[in-house]
Amino acid sequence: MAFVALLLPSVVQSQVDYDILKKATNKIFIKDVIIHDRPGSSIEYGSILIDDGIIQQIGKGIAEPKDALILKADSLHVYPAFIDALSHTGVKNKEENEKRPNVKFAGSPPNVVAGILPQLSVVDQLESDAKSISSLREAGFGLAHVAPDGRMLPGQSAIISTSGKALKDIVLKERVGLYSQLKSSPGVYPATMIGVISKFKELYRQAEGASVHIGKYKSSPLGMQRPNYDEAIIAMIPVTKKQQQVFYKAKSAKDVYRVLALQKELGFDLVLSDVQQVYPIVDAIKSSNAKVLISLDLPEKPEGMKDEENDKAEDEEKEDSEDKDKDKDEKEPEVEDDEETKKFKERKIAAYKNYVAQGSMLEEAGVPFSFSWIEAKPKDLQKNIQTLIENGMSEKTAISALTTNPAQLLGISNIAGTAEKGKLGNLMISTKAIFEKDAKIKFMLVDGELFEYEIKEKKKNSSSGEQMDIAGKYSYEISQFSANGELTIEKDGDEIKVLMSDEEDLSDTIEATNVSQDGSNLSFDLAVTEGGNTMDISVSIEFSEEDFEGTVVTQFGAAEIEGTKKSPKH
Amino acid sequence: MNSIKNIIFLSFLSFGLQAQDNGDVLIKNGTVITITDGVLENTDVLIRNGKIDKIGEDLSASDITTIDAEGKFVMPGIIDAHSHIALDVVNEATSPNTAHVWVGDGLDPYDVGVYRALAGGVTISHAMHGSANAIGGQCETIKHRYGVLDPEEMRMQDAPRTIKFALGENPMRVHGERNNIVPATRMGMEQIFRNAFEQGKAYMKANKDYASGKVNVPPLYNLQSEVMADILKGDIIIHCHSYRADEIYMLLRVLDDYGVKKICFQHVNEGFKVAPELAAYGAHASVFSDWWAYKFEVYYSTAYNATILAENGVVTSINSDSGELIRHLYHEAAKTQRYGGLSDNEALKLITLNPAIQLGIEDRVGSIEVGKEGDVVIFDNHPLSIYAIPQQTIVDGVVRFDIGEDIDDMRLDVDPEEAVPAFYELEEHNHESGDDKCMQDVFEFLNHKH
Repeated sequence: MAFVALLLPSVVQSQVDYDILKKATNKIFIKDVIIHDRPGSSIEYGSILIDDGIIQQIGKGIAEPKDALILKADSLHVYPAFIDALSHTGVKNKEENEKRPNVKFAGSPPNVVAGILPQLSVVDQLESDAKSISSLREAGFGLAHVAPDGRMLPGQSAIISTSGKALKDIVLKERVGLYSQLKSSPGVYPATMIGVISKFKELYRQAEGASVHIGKYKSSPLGMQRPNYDEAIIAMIPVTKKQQQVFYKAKSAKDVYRVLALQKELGFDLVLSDVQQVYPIVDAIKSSNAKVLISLDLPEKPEGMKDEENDKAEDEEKEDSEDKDKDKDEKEPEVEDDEETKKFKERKIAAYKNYVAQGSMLEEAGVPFSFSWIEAKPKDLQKNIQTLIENGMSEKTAISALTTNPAQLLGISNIAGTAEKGKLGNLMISTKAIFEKDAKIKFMLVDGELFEYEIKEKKKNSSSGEQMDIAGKYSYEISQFSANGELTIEKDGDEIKVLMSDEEDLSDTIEATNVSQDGSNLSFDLAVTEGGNTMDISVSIEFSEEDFEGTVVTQFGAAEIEGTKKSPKH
Repeated sequence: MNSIKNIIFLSFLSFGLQAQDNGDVLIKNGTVITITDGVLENTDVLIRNGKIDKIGEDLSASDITTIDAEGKFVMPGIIDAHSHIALDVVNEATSPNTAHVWVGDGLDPYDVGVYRALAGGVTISHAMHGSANAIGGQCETIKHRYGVLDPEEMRMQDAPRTIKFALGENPMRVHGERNNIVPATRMGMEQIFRNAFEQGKAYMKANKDYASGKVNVPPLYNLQSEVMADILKGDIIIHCHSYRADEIYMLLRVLDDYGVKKICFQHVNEGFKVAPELAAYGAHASVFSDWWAYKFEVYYSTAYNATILAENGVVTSINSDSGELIRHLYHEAAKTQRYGGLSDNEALKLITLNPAIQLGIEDRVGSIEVGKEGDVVIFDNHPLSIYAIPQQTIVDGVVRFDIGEDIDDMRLDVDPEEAVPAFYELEEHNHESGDDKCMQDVFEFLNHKH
């Protein structure tokens, strides 16, 4: 064992208390690392000196300063920290169940009810100590371009750092772009997507008119009606003058076409945002010259799809455990699919293959893009990018999409995006080249702050571990079924009781059967009765700290479930 | 990368679907029902670059798709003047007047309903806003180019703009009953139209005053007023959901007061009572063949409606308003021969040239004439025969439906996360008393909604 330990990077074994050292100096010196200073380029065994969060020196042969914190990161890989091109990171959760004011005329609701708030700045909605900021940082990001959440026009975006410091310290740039969606407002205008588009057109034209009016009034107000003070219209003026980009969320190919048509009619500076379905429209995106942010929310791999590497591993495991595992023999024989089902499944697999090939399609078409996180989760970053790489996207493109491309798009490439002298010393330090299998982030440096992460050994067999304490009340969401509500887990000795309810009536609960816990995994079955029909649902979830996620399987197919522990106040 | 391209290719093109807009095809030796120039036996139709290039005997062209139509019937593509297929949104039901919205912003080229319509010989449909509002949204005339992915390519470019109006119970219920605002009565309905036209007039004047320098500030842009003004200017054809003769006549008087001429009444079940008045105004009528009594205001009707309207000189069409009926509009047209004794040509006009006139596209489609667009359907039997089945449907010279290559799964867009089988409702029918439940849910849903 001692021999093995010698081969490991020294940081893994010797824990230096960097917290104490940090207080003594603002300088950080990173020694003998592989520096991936920009996409497609690297410096073998170089060093970096950071002072007050700015890179002072970078390269080979830099003398070790005497007054710096020395980061022992020998042989580790250093990258410019990633830049999140668009997400809701750090944005306060809006009060759910907030009572909407009664609107007399659904056709002309107040802007706040309609979700038309282009004047709002996301900065007013930020929580600098939000968990979403630290999670993003843990996933390798130093900067985030964040937008408020809402309906058709939620407000103005900003660029923040993930240092977790006070609000005044984390905002790099305010009012970066206008965030826009095709999301309607139930019950009031615009209640549909076509309403949203018509309202956008109208506001845009109104802003153009207001701009003329304000200009004329400034030069000679005598005898002229003064311009109205309409916050929403005024906030749209920079967009009409192409002084501000519109980050328009468009998930599907259809939505992308709609937003492109809107852009063509009005002429604003468009960034297609959080696009999930790219494969049918690569050429359309290219010829539109629109900038594009691709969502890293990839579809789940369809069942029955061959995954060669994993299958091989599983087969080997199976062989090993065949003797021990008698349960497997008793498993029900698999029912052969009929021809129609087979064809449906083949088309699902073909569709999935299209989705995971999107990165390489854009790369081949020469369309630069960045990644956005509106619907994806930072912790899926590595897995999903690896999937895109396995399907033909180059690592260089992946790194560009996470560093130089967003920096350029957001107008901050003079201070971020690459690791070079004078730029922000926001760095990510990983155990291996970042998209290699099992690569882990060991350190993050953001705004001169050092964050160290424990490298957890991958658990081979979770059942041998301790049972995690998962008792409590959780809120859950199954977005595919538009279902959410409360999940209660009570523990009495070894007995686990699981109760599930729908948000419409939290007191109407269903008790789960076949509950079993295995480490941080929990599985149970539910029998849901609706309109005289009973549907069997089986749920398996995995907990990590306060959250859980997993799968719900019904007769209609599987769906993702996720949830968060409710604070005791509730 | 080759494999990826193959996948895209397979996903979209393996069914013979084509993304390009215009094609070439030669149809040989068919019985050509031209609509405007009689029936031509043993005649060829050559479509070049999406347009009908030649009609005659012994036509030849090299290197293009040739269809042998011997013993078959070739007629102009069927046109449906009232449909809601290929739409992601039908009703913006938030106001009695939503002239500012446009269903063209919500086209869904992936709707498999478009393919089903093609299988019924329909090449063009009028994708309409719903009837929740007195003045609904603007509609869109679409070409059934199933296989294109860009909603823009579904549009029939340069077709006149149209808008949905609605009379009677639907808008009264949605706004009057539900929200206790005007219109709660048929009197209120009239007032909505008059107010909206006044609004359009005032807006036009305000813009004129600004353009002429009379005022120095531009009026606040208002999309609804823009559209009302465009109707007043004659730039938009009104298609009005209607049933009762009294309210049909009411709208004629309102339109006359404002000088609006372009009007096609939809459904118009009591149209037979005011047929001479409709003809005198130049109003059109688009009706069901024999469908009524589905709500109180539609109890008084007749299967002779289309014939009476047509015989009185009203440009009349038969429409579907349904993803199912759209698959056999030729049967619907044939019913006018049983009820009213229309000639073959008169009956077929109801689903070809007449709806084209109602949509303002009769100079481009609706008949087989040299120079018109290559929208054609080939039937195995005479299209008014109960045995008629469309064999090929051609849009702009591109074969978009071919019964010989009609595979089961024609979807263009597949969700990799969808449940399989996707059509689990069918399983429900196997349950005991499953048939009842099927409808029960529908009624529960309806009761809940209203």
